[in-house]
Amino acid sequence: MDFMTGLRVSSSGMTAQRRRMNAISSNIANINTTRTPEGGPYRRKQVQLEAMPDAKSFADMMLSNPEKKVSRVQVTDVLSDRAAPLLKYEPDHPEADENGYVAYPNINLMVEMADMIQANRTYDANVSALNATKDMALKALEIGR
Amino acid sequence: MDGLKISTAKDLLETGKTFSEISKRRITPENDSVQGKSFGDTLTEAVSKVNEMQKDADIKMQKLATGENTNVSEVMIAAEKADIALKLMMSVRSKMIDAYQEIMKMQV
Amino acid sequence: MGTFFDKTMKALNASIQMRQMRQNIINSNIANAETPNYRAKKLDFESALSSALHREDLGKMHVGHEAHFSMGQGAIGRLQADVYDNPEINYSNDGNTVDLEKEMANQLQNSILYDAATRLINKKLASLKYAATDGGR
Repeated sequence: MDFMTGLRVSSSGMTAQRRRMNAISSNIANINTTRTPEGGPYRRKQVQLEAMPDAKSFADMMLSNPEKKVSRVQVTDVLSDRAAPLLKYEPDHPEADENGYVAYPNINLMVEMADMIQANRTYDANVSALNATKDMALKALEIGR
Repeated sequence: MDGLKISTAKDLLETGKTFSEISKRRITPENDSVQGKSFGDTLTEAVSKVNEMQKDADIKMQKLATGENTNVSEVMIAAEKADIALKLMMSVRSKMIDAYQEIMKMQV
Repeated sequence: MGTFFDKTMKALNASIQMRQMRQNIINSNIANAETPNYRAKKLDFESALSSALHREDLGKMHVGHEAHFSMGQGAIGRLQADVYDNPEINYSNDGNTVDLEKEMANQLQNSILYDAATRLINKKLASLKYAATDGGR
């Protein structure tokens, strides 16, 4: 049993939350962006999290011991929201279409703030788990001293 | 010293038993000037008390390891008590050995 | 090495190993606290260790399986932790069953008992050393 597993898992959690924060920051910054290189208004970004077994090699995957149940978290994709953009009636806007509607991103600031607080909280929890693992490792070094 | 002869000293240190039970029978209360418990008995009792404390600490530690007893302070205190008792017994033993060696050095 | 490990030291050693594994499972749960459809896991070893301690005095001749950690011979050496999905479901929209506060509380208790086991093993080893070096004479 090594401590590297615990440290790897916790650091994967921290990375995932950090990338989630990046997506949230991007969403908040682009809350009014009407034009993107892909065309159309900015679409809300969301990270897709997936739990992966933390195995160092194929042989490890085959072992039927509790190590196999320990999973890292991985950001597998950054998804763009498929919801329809908000249409606002602004006929004088340079981006207005033929009916006078401008397409704005469908991003709710309150939702983004709530997500941000959640990401923060989970990041803190992961840091605390990492510290607990580190303390255990250091304590083990003290055996027999 | 009841039952504590030079030949029985080694046995005393190893097993905590002396021949005081045997020798006490020969000493009747009239000519026994030492009152109270014999030294051998005190030693035996002390050794078994230390053993009891160790066993008690052991059981408490096992209960802590399985999570049955989460009273950490109780276990720590019991472990420390057993430790101190052992150290005390060791130092009494050292003193006894030193005393024995002193006696051996005496010119007859 | 096995002859120096009495039953208590084996129990403490097993406790230390198992709690390390439990910490890994807790880490995994916390890291996946936001992952959709992730089921929180739980590691149990207490009852297995307790019954192994009772059986330890019997059956000293068996050899442990290689996949287990070498905790010595006997019933404690064959101890295996039980990892399973936590049946206490914490309902949420995305199928995730991790209760973050519970995981933090578990982690705290695990840490404390791990520390206690480490210290006790230290104490026992120190007392063995003391007896072996004749009290420093």
